[in-house]
Amino acid sequence: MEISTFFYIIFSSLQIGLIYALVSIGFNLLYSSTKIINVAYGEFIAIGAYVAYWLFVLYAIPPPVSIFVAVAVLILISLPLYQILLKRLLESKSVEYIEIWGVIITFGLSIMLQGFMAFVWSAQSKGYSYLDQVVEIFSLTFILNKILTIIISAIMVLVLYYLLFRTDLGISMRSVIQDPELAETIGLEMNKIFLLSFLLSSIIAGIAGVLLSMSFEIHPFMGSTYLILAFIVTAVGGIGNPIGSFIGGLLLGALNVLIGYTIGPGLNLFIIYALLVALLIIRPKGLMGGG
Amino acid sequence: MRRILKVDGVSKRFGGIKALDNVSVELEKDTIVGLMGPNGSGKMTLFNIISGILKPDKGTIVFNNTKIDGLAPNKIATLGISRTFQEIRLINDLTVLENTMISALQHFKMDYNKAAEHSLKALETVGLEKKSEWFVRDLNLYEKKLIEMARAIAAMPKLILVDEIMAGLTEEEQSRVARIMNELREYGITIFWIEHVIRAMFKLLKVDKIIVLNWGKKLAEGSPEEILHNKEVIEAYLGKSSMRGG
Repeated sequence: MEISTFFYIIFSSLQIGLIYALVSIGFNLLYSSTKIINVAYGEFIAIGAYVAYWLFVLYAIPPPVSIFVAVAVLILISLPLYQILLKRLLESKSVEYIEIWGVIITFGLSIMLQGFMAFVWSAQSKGYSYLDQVVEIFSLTFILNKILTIIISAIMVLVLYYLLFRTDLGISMRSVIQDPELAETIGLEMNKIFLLSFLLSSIIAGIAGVLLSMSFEIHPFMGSTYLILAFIVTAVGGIGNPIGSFIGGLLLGALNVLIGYTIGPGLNLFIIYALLVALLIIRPKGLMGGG
Repeated sequence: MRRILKVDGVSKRFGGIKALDNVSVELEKDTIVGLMGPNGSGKMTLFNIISGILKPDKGTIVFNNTKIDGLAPNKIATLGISRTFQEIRLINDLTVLENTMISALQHFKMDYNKAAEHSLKALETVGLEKKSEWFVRDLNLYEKKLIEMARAIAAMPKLILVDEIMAGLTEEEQSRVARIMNELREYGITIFWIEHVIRAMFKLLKVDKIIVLNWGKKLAEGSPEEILHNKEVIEAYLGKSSMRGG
């Protein structure tokens, strides 16, 4: 393998892996704190991608700026959704009830959002070119928008790390994830933590969508791929473990690129699933899930 | 008025089992009140009802002139009731300091650094300040019990429900825990204390009053001396045959 190919693989792995890590942290955070499996999570990613696309195409607003709009849009969608549908579900405090009805509600929402996006913006794939110039660093060539994606994703991961591990909200969330009954007995306002977890998860999805739109084509059904990847990374990294999701995301990103480079991109998901099944047989709680 | 907690005629059923049957309890400020009874007598159910984890089927609970039965656990905690658990409940992935901070952050709306400073003082009270950055999973049973105490103290409660804190500890560790509980009373915190280690309840601490439950009902209430010589209590713990055998 040439040195330039090696760096290309590292670079692409980092770009995709960091986005996978972001997507998975958001998905994992919501499930582990509320027990809601948000099947519409992928559509939230697609909405973020469409926000970036339309703002760029219509008003030439660069995607890094669109991130703020995507965050606002996702909050506007998530807030009433939580208040009307999910809040009452969570008040039941029954894990089985929340899991089953959470899937049913968000599955319905997923279909509605897909239908809405296909109706309004058509089912055709769309894309735009932003910072697609090539730069040369140490005689290796890189595309600018991919460098930007890595920088923004890395900043986001650091912000999330700070939020989860260095703030009162993070301590509260991690307490709720591990022992909700204890957290409530100590004095935590569960509804507030659930709402903030849902908003944070939606915001992460929106930002990931913006970042994905910079390098990949977007369409109303793109979300399902990322939902599946979020499932896989959560299973690999361990439920309730954001650091596990981060490492799992990077691993999956690298695997994706390596399979694409060595075997070809068509078999990516098949091989990843096979490896996941093998891993879960050996370590049912995932790589970072304590055996 | 010196009364801080009044449990009045509380009953709780789980299916066909009467876990608590018309139990009434009163606690005065700055006292240590023991709660005893054989397994299944309803002690933990009473603690769970006071802290809001369970709702009573009947009866009322007034804490510091506020009716608390039916309130959510977090509201009750905010009013000034903290608790420890028989089976230690800490957040394993948080550090000792973070575990202690959870309650401080909720109750006083402090920023992160102030809450850390405040919680460090609670850890000093139990002598664990040097291990504040350790993860709780790396500590032993005694230290974990102290963290539960520190977490309760950090909330600056008026009443702490202490659940079998002495179980599994060495005599020396029990004496140290007893000293901490005495200090808390001196700070003006009332302690309601479930304990099976009889020596701790009767010798290590000056307990003001002991309440004994049996089969969900209040069997006896009195000073440690009175309880120690109460025939019904001895019978409940040891059975009728041992009474006859002397």
